[in-house]
Amino acid sequence: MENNNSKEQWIDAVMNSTNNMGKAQPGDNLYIKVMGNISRPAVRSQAPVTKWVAAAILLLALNLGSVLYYTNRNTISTNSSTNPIAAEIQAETTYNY
Amino acid sequence: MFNTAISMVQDHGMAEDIAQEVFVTVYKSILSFNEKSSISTWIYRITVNKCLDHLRAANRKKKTGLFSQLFNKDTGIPLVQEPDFIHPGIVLERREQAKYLFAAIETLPDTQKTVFVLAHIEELSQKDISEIMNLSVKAVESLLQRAKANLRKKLGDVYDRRKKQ
Repeated sequence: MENNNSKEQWIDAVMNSTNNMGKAQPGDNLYIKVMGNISRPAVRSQAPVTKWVAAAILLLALNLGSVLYYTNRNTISTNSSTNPIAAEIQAETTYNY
Repeated sequence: MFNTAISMVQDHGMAEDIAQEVFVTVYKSILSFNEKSSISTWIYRITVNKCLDHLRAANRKKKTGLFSQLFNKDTGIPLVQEPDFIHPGIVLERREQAKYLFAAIETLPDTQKTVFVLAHIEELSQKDISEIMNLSVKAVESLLQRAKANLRKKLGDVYDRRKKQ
Protein backbone atom coordinates (compact mmCIF):
# COMPACT_ATOMS: atom_id res chain seq x y z
CA MET A 1 0.00 0.00 0.00
CA GLU A 2 2.76 2.38 1.01
CA ASN A 3 4.74 1.31 -2.04
CA ASN A 4 1.75 2.14 -4.27
CA ASN A 5 1.42 5.53 -2.63
CA SER A 6 5.06 6.40 -3.16
CA LYS A 7 4.78 5.18 -6.78
CA GLU A 8 1.78 7.45 -7.41
CA GLN A 9 3.55 10.32 -5.69
CA TRP A 10 6.62 9.85 -7.88
CA ILE A 11 4.46 9.72 -11.04
CA ASP A 12 2.61 12.89 -9.96
CA ALA A 13 5.89 14.66 -9.28
CA VAL A 14 7.23 13.69 -12.70
CA MET A 15 3.99 14.67 -14.44
CA ASN A 16 4.06 18.08 -12.72
CA SER A 17 7.75 18.69 -13.32
CA THR A 18 6.98 21.06 -16.21
CA ASN A 19 4.92 23.39 -14.01
CA ASN A 20 6.21 26.98 -14.01
CA MET A 21 8.86 26.13 -16.54
CA GLY A 22 10.46 28.88 -18.60
CA LYS A 23 10.70 29.14 -22.36
CA ALA A 24 13.73 27.73 -24.12
CA GLN A 25 15.61 30.31 -26.19
CA PRO A 26 17.53 29.59 -29.39
CA GLY A 27 21.19 30.52 -29.81
CA ASP A 28 22.13 34.11 -30.70
CA ASN A 29 23.17 33.17 -34.22
CA LEU A 30 19.70 31.94 -35.25
CA TYR A 31 18.67 35.43 -36.42
CA ILE A 32 21.80 35.71 -38.59
CA LYS A 33 21.16 32.24 -40.05
CA VAL A 34 17.53 33.08 -40.85
CA MET A 35 18.45 36.40 -42.48
CA GLY A 36 21.13 34.64 -44.51
CA ASN A 37 18.62 32.05 -45.62
CA ILE A 38 16.00 34.63 -46.61
CA SER A 39 18.37 36.92 -48.52
CA ARG A 40 20.04 34.05 -50.40
CA PRO A 41 18.92 34.09 -54.07
CA ALA A 42 16.59 31.25 -54.89
CA VAL A 43 18.31 28.38 -56.66
CA ARG A 44 16.49 27.29 -59.81
CA SER A 45 15.21 23.87 -59.19
CA GLN A 46 16.49 21.33 -61.67
CA ALA A 47 14.47 18.47 -63.02
CA PRO A 48 15.47 15.22 -61.33
CA VAL A 49 18.18 13.25 -63.13
CA THR A 50 15.88 10.23 -63.36
CA LYS A 51 13.59 12.09 -65.79
CA TRP A 52 16.50 12.71 -68.16
CA VAL A 53 17.72 9.15 -67.86
CA ALA A 54 14.22 7.82 -68.64
CA ALA A 55 13.92 10.13 -71.65
CA ALA A 56 17.32 9.02 -72.97
CA ILE A 57 16.44 5.33 -72.56
CA LEU A 58 13.12 5.86 -74.36
CA LEU A 59 14.81 7.68 -77.24
CA LEU A 60 17.47 4.96 -77.55
CA ALA A 61 14.82 2.22 -77.51
CA LEU A 62 12.81 3.95 -80.26
CA ASN A 63 15.93 4.38 -82.41
CA LEU A 64 17.00 0.79 -81.91
CA GLY A 65 13.47 -0.42 -82.65
CA SER A 66 13.25 1.47 -85.92
CA VAL A 67 16.75 0.34 -87.03
CA LEU A 68 15.87 -3.32 -86.33
CA TYR A 69 12.52 -2.95 -88.11
CA TYR A 70 14.03 -1.55 -91.31
CA THR A 71 16.96 -4.01 -91.29
CA ASN A 72 14.50 -6.90 -91.00
CA ARG A 73 12.33 -5.58 -93.81
CA ASN A 74 15.28 -5.17 -96.17
CA THR A 75 16.53 -8.70 -95.40
CA ILE A 76 13.13 -10.24 -96.22
CA SER A 77 12.82 -8.44 -99.57
CA THR A 78 16.44 -9.26 -100.50
CA ASN A 79 15.87 -12.91 -99.61
CA SER A 80 12.80 -13.23 -101.78
CA SER A 81 14.61 -11.76 -104.79
CA THR A 82 17.67 -14.07 -104.51
CA ASN A 83 15.84 -17.23 -103.48
CA PRO A 84 15.28 -19.42 -106.63
CA ILE A 85 12.13 -21.09 -105.26
CA ALA A 86 10.63 -17.78 -104.45
CA ALA A 87 11.54 -16.53 -107.92
CA GLU A 88 9.96 -19.65 -109.47
CA ILE A 89 6.75 -19.19 -107.54
CA GLN A 90 6.68 -15.58 -108.59
CA ALA A 91 7.24 -16.60 -112.22
CA GLU A 92 4.46 -19.18 -112.02
CA THR A 93 2.00 -16.74 -110.66
CA THR A 94 2.79 -14.22 -113.37
CA TYR A 95 2.76 -16.84 -116.18
CA ASN A 96 0.02 -16.20 -118.62
CA TYR A 97 -1.86 -19.50 -119.37
CA MET B 1 8.23 28.53 -31.73
CA PHE B 2 11.69 27.36 -30.67
CA ASN B 3 10.27 26.23 -27.33
CA THR B 4 7.64 24.10 -29.09
CA ALA B 5 10.25 22.65 -31.42
CA ILE B 6 12.74 21.71 -28.70
CA SER B 7 9.96 20.16 -26.61
CA MET B 8 8.80 18.06 -29.55
CA VAL B 9 12.13 16.94 -31.01
CA GLN B 10 14.24 17.10 -27.81
CA ASP B 11 17.35 18.15 -29.66
CA HIS B 12 18.75 21.69 -29.61
CA GLY B 13 20.35 21.58 -33.06
CA MET B 14 17.30 20.08 -34.73
CA ALA B 15 15.04 22.60 -32.99
CA GLU B 16 17.16 25.46 -34.36
CA ASP B 17 16.95 24.02 -37.87
CA ILE B 18 13.18 23.79 -37.51
CA ALA B 19 12.91 27.35 -36.21
CA GLN B 20 14.93 28.51 -39.20
CA GLU B 21 12.72 26.59 -41.64
CA VAL B 22 9.58 27.96 -40.02
CA PHE B 23 10.85 31.55 -40.32
CA VAL B 24 11.68 31.04 -43.98
CA THR B 25 8.32 29.35 -44.71
CA VAL B 26 6.42 32.14 -42.97
CA TYR B 27 8.43 34.80 -44.80
CA LYS B 28 7.86 33.20 -48.19
CA SER B 29 4.18 32.38 -47.77
CA ILE B 30 2.94 35.28 -45.66
CA LEU B 31 1.08 36.68 -48.68
CA SER B 32 -0.86 33.46 -49.14
CA PHE B 33 -1.87 33.39 -45.47
CA ASN B 34 -5.64 33.46 -45.24
CA GLU B 35 -7.06 35.12 -42.20
CA LYS B 36 -9.38 32.27 -41.26
CA SER B 37 -7.15 31.52 -38.29
CA SER B 38 -4.87 33.78 -36.28
CA ILE B 39 -1.28 34.18 -37.36
CA SER B 40 0.00 32.48 -34.20
CA THR B 41 -2.18 29.43 -34.92
CA TRP B 42 -0.80 29.35 -38.45
CA ILE B 43 2.82 29.57 -37.21
CA TYR B 44 2.20 26.88 -34.57
CA ARG B 45 0.72 24.64 -37.28
CA ILE B 46 3.79 25.09 -39.49
CA THR B 47 6.09 24.44 -36.51
CA VAL B 48 4.27 21.25 -35.46
CA ASN B 49 4.28 19.90 -39.01
CA LYS B 50 7.99 20.63 -39.44
CA CYS B 51 8.74 18.95 -36.09
CA LEU B 52 6.84 15.82 -37.10
CA ASP B 53 8.60 15.77 -40.49
CA HIS B 54 12.00 16.03 -38.80
CA LEU B 55 11.11 13.34 -36.26
CA ARG B 56 9.97 10.95 -38.98
CA ALA B 57 13.15 11.57 -40.95
CA ALA B 58 15.26 11.05 -37.82
CA ASN B 59 13.39 7.85 -36.97
CA ARG B 60 13.94 6.54 -40.47
CA LYS B 61 17.66 7.23 -40.16
CA LYS B 62 18.01 5.87 -36.69
CA LYS B 63 15.35 3.34 -35.86
CA THR B 64 16.49 3.06 -32.29
CA GLY B 65 18.61 4.95 -29.87
CA LEU B 66 18.28 8.67 -30.42
CA PHE B 67 15.15 9.36 -28.45
CA SER B 68 14.25 6.03 -27.00
CA GLN B 69 16.67 5.79 -24.14
CA LEU B 70 13.93 4.93 -21.71
CA PHE B 71 11.79 2.49 -23.68
CA ASN B 72 12.42 -0.02 -26.38
CA LYS B 73 10.66 1.37 -29.46
CA ASP B 74 9.58 -2.06 -30.70
CA THR B 75 8.63 -3.85 -27.53
CA GLY B 76 7.77 -0.86 -25.34
CA ILE B 77 9.72 -2.47 -22.50
CA PRO B 78 11.34 0.13 -20.28
CA LEU B 79 15.11 0.26 -20.51
CA VAL B 80 17.39 0.99 -17.63
CA GLN B 81 19.46 3.80 -19.12
CA GLU B 82 19.12 7.24 -17.65
CA PRO B 83 17.44 9.72 -20.03
CA ASP B 84 19.70 12.62 -20.93
CA PHE B 85 17.57 15.35 -22.51
CA ILE B 86 17.06 18.34 -20.24
CA HIS B 87 14.67 21.04 -21.41
CA PRO B 88 16.44 24.36 -20.79
CA GLY B 89 13.30 25.91 -19.31
CA ILE B 90 12.93 23.42 -16.45
CA VAL B 91 13.74 24.72 -13.00
CA LEU B 92 16.84 23.18 -11.46
CA GLU B 93 15.17 21.20 -8.68
CA ARG B 94 12.81 19.43 -11.12
CA ARG B 95 15.33 18.54 -13.79
CA GLU B 96 15.78 14.93 -12.74
CA GLN B 97 12.03 14.27 -12.80
CA ALA B 98 11.53 16.21 -16.04
CA LYS B 99 14.11 14.00 -17.77
CA TYR B 100 11.86 11.01 -17.19
CA LEU B 101 8.81 12.91 -18.37
CA PHE B 102 10.43 14.02 -21.63
CA ALA B 103 11.75 10.53 -22.32
CA ALA B 104 8.22 9.18 -21.86
CA ILE B 105 6.71 11.96 -24.02
CA GLU B 106 9.09 10.91 -26.77
CA THR B 107 7.50 7.49 -26.99
CA LEU B 108 3.93 8.77 -27.41
CA PRO B 109 2.21 8.59 -30.80
CA ASP B 110 2.59 11.83 -32.81
CA THR B 111 -0.88 13.22 -32.15
CA GLN B 112 -0.76 12.55 -28.40
CA LYS B 113 2.74 14.00 -28.18
CA THR B 114 1.68 17.16 -30.03
CA VAL B 115 -1.41 17.67 -27.89
CA PHE B 116 0.52 17.11 -24.64
CA VAL B 117 3.33 19.50 -25.60
CA LEU B 118 0.93 22.22 -26.74
CA ALA B 119 -1.25 21.85 -23.65
CA HIS B 120 1.33 21.35 -20.91
CA ILE B 121 4.46 23.05 -22.18
CA GLU B 122 3.04 25.79 -24.38
CA GLU B 123 0.01 26.04 -22.06
CA LEU B 124 -2.39 26.60 -24.94
CA SER B 125 -6.13 26.17 -24.54
CA GLN B 126 -7.86 23.12 -25.99
CA LYS B 127 -9.64 25.42 -28.44
CA ASP B 128 -6.33 26.81 -29.73
CA ILE B 129 -4.90 23.29 -30.01
CA SER B 130 -7.96 22.14 -31.94
CA GLU B 131 -7.42 24.97 -34.45
CA ILE B 132 -3.71 24.21 -34.79
CA MET B 133 -4.32 20.50 -35.34
CA ASN B 134 -7.53 20.84 -37.35
CA LEU B 135 -9.42 18.70 -34.84
CA SER B 136 -12.53 19.16 -32.76
CA VAL B 137 -12.15 20.27 -29.14
CA LYS B 138 -13.58 16.89 -28.09
CA ALA B 139 -10.92 15.04 -30.06
CA VAL B 140 -8.21 17.16 -28.44
CA GLU B 141 -9.65 16.46 -24.99
CA SER B 142 -9.69 12.74 -25.69
CA LEU B 143 -6.13 12.75 -27.07
CA LEU B 144 -4.92 14.64 -24.00
CA GLN B 145 -6.55 12.14 -21.65
CA ARG B 146 -5.03 9.24 -23.54
CA ALA B 147 -1.61 10.93 -23.56
CA LYS B 148 -1.74 11.43 -19.78
CA ALA B 149 -2.90 7.85 -19.18
CA ASN B 150 -0.12 6.51 -21.41
CA LEU B 151 2.49 8.66 -19.69
CA ARG B 152 1.36 7.54 -16.23
CA LYS B 153 1.51 3.91 -17.30
CA LYS B 154 4.98 4.27 -18.84
CA LEU B 155 6.27 6.15 -15.81
CA GLY B 156 4.79 3.48 -13.53
CA ASP B 157 6.73 0.84 -15.45
CA VAL B 158 9.91 2.89 -15.09
CA TYR B 159 9.31 3.23 -11.33
CA ASP B 160 8.87 -0.55 -10.97
CA ARG B 161 11.97 -1.23 -13.03
CA ARG B 162 14.03 1.18 -10.95
CA LYS B 163 12.72 -0.36 -7.71
CA LYS B 164 13.78 -3.85 -8.80
CA GLN B 165 17.37 -2.74 -9.38
